Formats: sequence, C-alpha cells, structure tokens
Amino acid sequence: MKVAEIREALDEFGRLYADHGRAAEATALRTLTVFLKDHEGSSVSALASAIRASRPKKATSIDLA
Amino acid sequence: MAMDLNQLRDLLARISRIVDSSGGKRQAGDLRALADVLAEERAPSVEEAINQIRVRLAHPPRKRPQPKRPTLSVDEYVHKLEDAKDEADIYKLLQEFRDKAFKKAELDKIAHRFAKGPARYKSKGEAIVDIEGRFFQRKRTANEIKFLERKKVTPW
Repeated sequence: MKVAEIREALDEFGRLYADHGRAAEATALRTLTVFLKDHEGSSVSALASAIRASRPKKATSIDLA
Repeated sequence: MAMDLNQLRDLLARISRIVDSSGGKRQAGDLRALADVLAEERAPSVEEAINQIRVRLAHPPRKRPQPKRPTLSVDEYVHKLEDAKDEADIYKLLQEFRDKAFKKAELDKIAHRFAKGPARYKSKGEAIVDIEGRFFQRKRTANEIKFLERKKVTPW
C-alpha cells in the first residue's frame, strides 16, 4: 500500500483531533503527515525498510577491536 | 506538550483499530508497521524522531568499501605456490584462497594448474585440499631428492 493512502487517513484523523481540541495528537499527526508527504511514491513497507536501514549500525566486537 | 514515541505508537494503534473495524485491514496493517518502525527510534519526541529520520534518509550511510585483495593472475599464484618454501607460506596463500572475495573459478584454474586436479572442483574447499596435498607431496619429493643427493645415492 502506498504511503499516500496512509497519509490521507492520518490527515483526516489529525483534523478530527484538532477539531476536538486534542492539540498533542493533532500536532504529532501533522508532523507525521508532513514527513509522509515526501515519501508518497513509496510503499509503507519500503519506507519502513529504508528507515531501519538508515539507522547507524551497532558496533561489533570486530569494529571495537 | 510534545508527544513522545510511545504515545505516538499508542495513538497510531488506536487509529489502526478504528481503520480496521471500518474495513480497512491493509491500511490498519500498514499503520501498525509504521507505528512499530517509529517506536524503534531513539528520540525524546515525535518531532525529534522525524527530524532524525529525515536527516538519515537524506544522507544514507556510505557502505564500507570492501578491502581489495591484490589482483594477481592465475600464473602468479601458481608461481607463488611453486615457490612456497614452508607451511607458513602455503597457509598464507590458502587463507587468501578461503576469502569470500576469492572467486571459485579462479581457484579452480590455480588448483588445476598446480595440483593437476580436475578443471572444475565441486567447491573451493575441495580445491584447497588438493592444493595443500600437492604442496606436501612436492615437499616430500624435494626432501627425498635432497636425502639421496646427500647420500650420493641415485634411485636409478
């Protein structure tokens, strides 16, 4: 499934939370949807994989040696 | 107050349940996947985590360059094997052959030339065993010749 579909759904929920005065939730969802907008062409699983792959690797015993 | 990543995961879990119950099973699954990957981040707030992810995705870590092994030809390796004087020399070469970067096709040619074995081996391990065997066979023969020369005895 494309990120765009998830973003749209989260956008809707963000607006609902904002309408009900739930600023923290609305702000978090807004932050997330703005980020997701940059990745709308990707699938959610591809984006998740890219995020995981971008994390710095833990040092191994070989690296420390 | 800024939301932390655990709170975001809970929020996305709530939203995914709502989406799931309204028939959006795949969307709900993707929301959970997104919640999981974000919850694994190490940041004090959602904003901070998203900023870190943005930076990381914009500058992906460079892959560590693979150390390049010296590019000797098959001939050169065969000569090195022929010139190997003792176990230290041969084991150094065998260690090099065991390296993943050392292609089997190349080792096949070396083993075929040096050990007079088949043109193609089943595995690198088999080729290495053949090379090692040939080395010790040559060494024994050389020792026998030396012994006979010292004794001034000829086998014929």
